[in-house]
Amino acid sequence: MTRRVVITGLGIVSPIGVGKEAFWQGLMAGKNGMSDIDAFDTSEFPCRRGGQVRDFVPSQYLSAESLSRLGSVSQFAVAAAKMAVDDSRLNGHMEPERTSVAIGTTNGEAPVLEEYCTTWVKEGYQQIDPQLIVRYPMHLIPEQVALEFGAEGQVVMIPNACSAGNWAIGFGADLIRSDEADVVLAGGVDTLARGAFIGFNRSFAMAPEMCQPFDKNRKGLMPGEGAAVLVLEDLDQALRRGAHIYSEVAGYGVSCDTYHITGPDPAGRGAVDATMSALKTSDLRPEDIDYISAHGTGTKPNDRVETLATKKVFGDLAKRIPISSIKSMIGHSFGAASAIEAVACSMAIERGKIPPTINYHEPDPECDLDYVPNEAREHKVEALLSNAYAFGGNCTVLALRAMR
Amino acid sequence: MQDHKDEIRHIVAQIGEVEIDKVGDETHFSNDLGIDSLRALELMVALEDKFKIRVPEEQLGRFTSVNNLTELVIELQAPGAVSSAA
Amino acid sequence: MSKRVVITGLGILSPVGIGREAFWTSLINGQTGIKPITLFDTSELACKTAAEISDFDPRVVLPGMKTGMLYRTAQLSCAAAKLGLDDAGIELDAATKPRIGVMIGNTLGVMQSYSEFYRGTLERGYLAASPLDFANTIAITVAGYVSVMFGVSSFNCVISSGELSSLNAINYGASFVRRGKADMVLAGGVEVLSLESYLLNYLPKFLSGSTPGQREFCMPFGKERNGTVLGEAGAFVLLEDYEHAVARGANIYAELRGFGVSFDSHAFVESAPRSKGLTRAISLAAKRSGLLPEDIDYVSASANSSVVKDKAEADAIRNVFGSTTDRLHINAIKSMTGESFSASAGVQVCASALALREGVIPPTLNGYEQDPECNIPLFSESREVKIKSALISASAVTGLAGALVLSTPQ
Repeated sequence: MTRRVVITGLGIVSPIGVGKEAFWQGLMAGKNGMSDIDAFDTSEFPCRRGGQVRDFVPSQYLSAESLSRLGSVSQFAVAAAKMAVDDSRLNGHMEPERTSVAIGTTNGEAPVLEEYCTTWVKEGYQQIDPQLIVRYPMHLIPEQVALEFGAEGQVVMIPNACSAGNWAIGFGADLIRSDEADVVLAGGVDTLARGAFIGFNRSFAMAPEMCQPFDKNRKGLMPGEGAAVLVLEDLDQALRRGAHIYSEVAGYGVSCDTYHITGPDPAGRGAVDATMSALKTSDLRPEDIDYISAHGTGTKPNDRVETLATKKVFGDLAKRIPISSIKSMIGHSFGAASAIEAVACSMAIERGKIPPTINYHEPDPECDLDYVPNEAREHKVEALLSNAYAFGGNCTVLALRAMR
Repeated sequence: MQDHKDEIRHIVAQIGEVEIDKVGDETHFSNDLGIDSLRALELMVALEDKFKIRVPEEQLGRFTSVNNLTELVIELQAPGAVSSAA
Repeated sequence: MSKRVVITGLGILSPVGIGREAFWTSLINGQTGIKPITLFDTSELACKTAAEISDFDPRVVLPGMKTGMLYRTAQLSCAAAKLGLDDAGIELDAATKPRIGVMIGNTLGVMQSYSEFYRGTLERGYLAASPLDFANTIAITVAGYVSVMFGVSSFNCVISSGELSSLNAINYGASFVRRGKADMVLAGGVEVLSLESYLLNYLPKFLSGSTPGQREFCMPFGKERNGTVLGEAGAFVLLEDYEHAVARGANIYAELRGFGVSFDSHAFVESAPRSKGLTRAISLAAKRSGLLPEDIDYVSASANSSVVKDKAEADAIRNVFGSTTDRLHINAIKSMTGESFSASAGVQVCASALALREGVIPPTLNGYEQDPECNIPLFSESREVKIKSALISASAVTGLAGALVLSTPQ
């Protein structure tokens, strides 16, 4: 008898709201979370906007002791985990040896490394604070989450960049299915890093004003930041304790393009494979899918290839399945993105509404699907897919379905 | 112009990780040398640094051969070109 | 019925040798890879030694591939993949490529490349930022480059858990073989030595000799041990579905058995017993292998000359094996290869797979007095002994511990 995995708690830090209700209200209102970045000096860059988190108050979630110990990225992650555990009402009911943590990221504690570099350049590496640098290794982020809740099972960081959240959720679901854990805190985190901001600016991958997924005039991605943690739980345990169940993790599919280290295969091979694999592992048919949460970064190649891959898998059904990108509202929060999208998807299933793709003005002949333009929509969702693709041709698709 | 060409040939060989004698005036960067879009951006940064120019994004399509690049560099070095690119 | 997963190829680049044969010859002859550092200038550091792969040239291991502009971690990763595929005798073609996945343990892979990229922007302004160097700051590319370079497309993934990374990668990688998503997975770990990663350990004084006046010496379980000596490695195994391996007449080194992990959430509490996490991890690994502790012949220890960790590991081994500890063969190969962090358990797995196949166990490089507090049997010359099961242990000071059992396939 295979164990089933359900989502019973959601925690989120995002540019349009901290906590699931504020986040959901933002999504339903089509709120634009972009602003002029002031987390660091952007004056010399052509593109200066992005999704910065504005109303996160760390002390609401973390003790003074934790605050003094944690880097800013770990603070996001631990806070999101705390919200998720509170939401699940599992506090005090997690058996340490049966609880695991899997978090995804792109850059980990990049701000620590950037501070280290600044000291190095200005004063020499001998002046670097040892207490600062020991915070850098990225596996410390899930370890901090584990410490907060006394988790003693597997504790891993999966630094798979823009698809990391899906990987972490998939990894966590496997631990529960294989009876290695009953509860897994799975998610993703990244903060705006000046280095990455420069990199995307210099690669002409960024949009100057807004993120316009699937629009004919889309100009690129907008960097963002945030964290999301989901409580994954063994179905039997969740039923026994009468937990609120958002959705079931039906399966996940992974694949990779071998086309290019940073760009997608123009034929969408990896995306198609990952989608087929997600359907297969979750025992879903294409006609079962009611909604697709797009990777939808707003770059020319991504949105074109994602549309193509969707049509290859779904054929004539593709035009009838709503597909939207919440990156239009919150930007691309990289390692956090697909975990945040999993939160949005869980709530879409729970509430029978789907978030829009905002900033959508002019259709692109190459992107001719229903992108839920500009307005949230009432729509019953029984089963959905959430796409995430990353550097290295890394393609993942998460499948969630309503609890039956 | 020949100086520019030789400089560009040298940069292309280095960034493309190919022998310099494989880089002819009309050798196609992506078809013949395997220079992908990422290495093309790398070429752009190297040219900007070497020739003190700014390459506007829309000119990246001209990164196809030594002859085309030489032409582009000369255009961008012409008086007035820098201000429009900045 | 779950599929059996075996190791059919070793891709190892280590400070004691590049390639399986050079690596093994050095280990069984007790030759150390620890020597004065050449990768960066140590004139302003108190410590001067490490275990470098000083003769690594990607152009030699990867002829015809454009790897000159990749960061060193990715170069090592691609090289380890190539050696692993070659050792397993895999022909890369339209049939095999979609059936091979990549699962790499790595934690600090982009520490040097991100730092260099970022320092460049501080020193020369943002216009000097190189797009290729930017791609080199993204940690997933350490696996992504392997997929792209070799065209292997089942999946790619990086997993970071410090010293446990390689074991996590091998265990998670094997799960994709078990569920039929891939026939083969390149799995293991990679970590390089750089001034950046050196400072991470040097500035907080984790290294042997980082306090002036100390002797700089890697002596796992040694009485006068005073910190670790860093190393670097790329250490992959080719995991393969047993039936697939048999069908193609592959040479099988070992079968993957049980895996156990534990995070000790009290590791930061001074008074907590440090051996708790590893004790549980080793017990879990044995149990999931369907083995009793006495069925295990050999323990590859992760001891790295750390004052706290080595003692905890000796205690954990005795906690699990009890009175049968004294008949175990135990070694600590970090005495020769240094502490290569995310790659270290991968190096141990490669050595253990060879020990199982060759019937020889490398020594703990000796020449120092063993700590009586680390009460486990060690030996200083290689032993010829037929063994059936090996346990690889890995632990981190932050409280993570893991163990993996390998057996000769029956």
